[in-house]
Amino acid sequence: MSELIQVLFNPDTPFLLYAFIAAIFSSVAFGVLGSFVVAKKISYLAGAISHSVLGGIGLALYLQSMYGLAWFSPMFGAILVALLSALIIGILSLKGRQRSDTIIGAMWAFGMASGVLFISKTPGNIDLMSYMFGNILMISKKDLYPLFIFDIIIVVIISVFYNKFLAICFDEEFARLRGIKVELYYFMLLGLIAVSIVLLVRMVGIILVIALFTIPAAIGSIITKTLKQMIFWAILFCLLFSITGLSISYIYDIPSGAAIIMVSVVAYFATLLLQAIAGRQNMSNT
Amino acid sequence: MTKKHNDPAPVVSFKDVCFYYGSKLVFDRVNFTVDPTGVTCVVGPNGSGKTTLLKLMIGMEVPSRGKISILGMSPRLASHKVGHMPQAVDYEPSFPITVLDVVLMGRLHNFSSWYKKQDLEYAKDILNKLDLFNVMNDSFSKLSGGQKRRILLARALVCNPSILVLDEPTANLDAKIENKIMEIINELSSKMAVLLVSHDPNFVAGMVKKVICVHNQHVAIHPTNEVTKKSLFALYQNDVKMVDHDCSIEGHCQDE
Repeated sequence: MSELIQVLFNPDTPFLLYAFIAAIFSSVAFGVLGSFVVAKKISYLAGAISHSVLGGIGLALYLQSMYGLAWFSPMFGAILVALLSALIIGILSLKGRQRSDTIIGAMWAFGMASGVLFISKTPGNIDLMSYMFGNILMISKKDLYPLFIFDIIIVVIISVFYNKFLAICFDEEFARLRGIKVELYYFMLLGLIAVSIVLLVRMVGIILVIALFTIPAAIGSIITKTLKQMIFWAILFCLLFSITGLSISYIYDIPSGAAIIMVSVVAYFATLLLQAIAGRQNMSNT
Repeated sequence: MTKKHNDPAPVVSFKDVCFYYGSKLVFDRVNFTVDPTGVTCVVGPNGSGKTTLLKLMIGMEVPSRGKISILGMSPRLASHKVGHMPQAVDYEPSFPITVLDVVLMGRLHNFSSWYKKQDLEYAKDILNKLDLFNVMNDSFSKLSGGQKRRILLARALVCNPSILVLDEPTANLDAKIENKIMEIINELSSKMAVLLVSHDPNFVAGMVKKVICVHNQHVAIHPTNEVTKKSLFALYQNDVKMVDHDCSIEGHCQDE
């Protein structure tokens, strides 16, 4: 462990320090937005947005390579497709049409498939795995700035409209009855989730990003009474899982994204087990 | 039915209201009014459109034709003066929210994101009146069905409404809690119009001033003394003929 701390502050290996700072910054986004994803039961919507991002990345790489559109960067393509998906998915889920879940599932698959197709037709060696599973150790100093700015945006928006978001997540119909513009805040939330997915995909990848949105917040919901407390604990758990996973990945030389997710999943099942044991003890005491 | 000159202005008015759900006609030219005080009960068989009628009143559904006026305004504009208690809230069982936070939602409006000190005081006062003060900081999901119903009633009341709309307020509750809620509603009905859906004939007979019968796309309103238990039974057995558009029910829903 002491070796890890020494390496962390070694100027020859700045990527490790950047990875730890990225873990801290991303924990805020994951914790705050993840709490709303879990409370509103929209993890499958977040999953569909994250998987559609590959389509945007693939399209950008293809256009850059084949048509020389240098301005169409993978980040731009990802944000464009993520926001578009959020809009379509948001409309479908608000309309509550009978087959909206099937359509959202189809969009999920379409995003992945189109991404793979574009990348397969793009000349050169593109590391698909780094998009799918991420690599926090590849994060540079300049990647940290958008993460930090986005954290500030999230904290400001959620703090200002907290009571409205709470009402919409708990009882959408009642919020509408109170004159709250439910659609506006719902799309605002989905938009924040979409942008955060794009920024956080570098860390754990498209496939695993949904785990960090949901697992820390789900554990938070078990141990708390209010959404504010849930957000606080979700940030803390996310930070704990990211740093533990990152340390394990460095010590055992294993992929960082997978290590972070494994730590999160083990912690989640351990919490569920403890909750079940505590529930049984309470029942036997009464 | 001629209106007396000194009758108070109605707080709810339906004029030739038609409502389609998709292509299905739910209400066909519905006309009725509701007085500023007293309890009005909406009765009818399952699927007859009782909840839809309430949703039209609170602006959650929009009529296909006709006009609905609530306190002289459109239902959407009047929503801040209408307290609504739904049949149930579809929320995640582990949703972390306290009783106070649920009740405070009734003070929320579009122009402000923050609760004022007086909002908090008003919510606490309502919780106190409904014997819920001691569970104010408890988790909503951990409470019993009866307590949850009272909390939803408190949320409906905290906006200081002129009209209270309750969808089956005593459903699935034991007799003790049911009586408590009936007592509260009875007390409130002297200050505001209370509209509620109920399947309970005792409820209708006990305190209700008028009964709105919903059946086969039509709606008819009657003073409670014109509605007998037998006629209500007939209504639930689909054995009632509604006379179109003159606010009366032929046959079973009359005095016998």
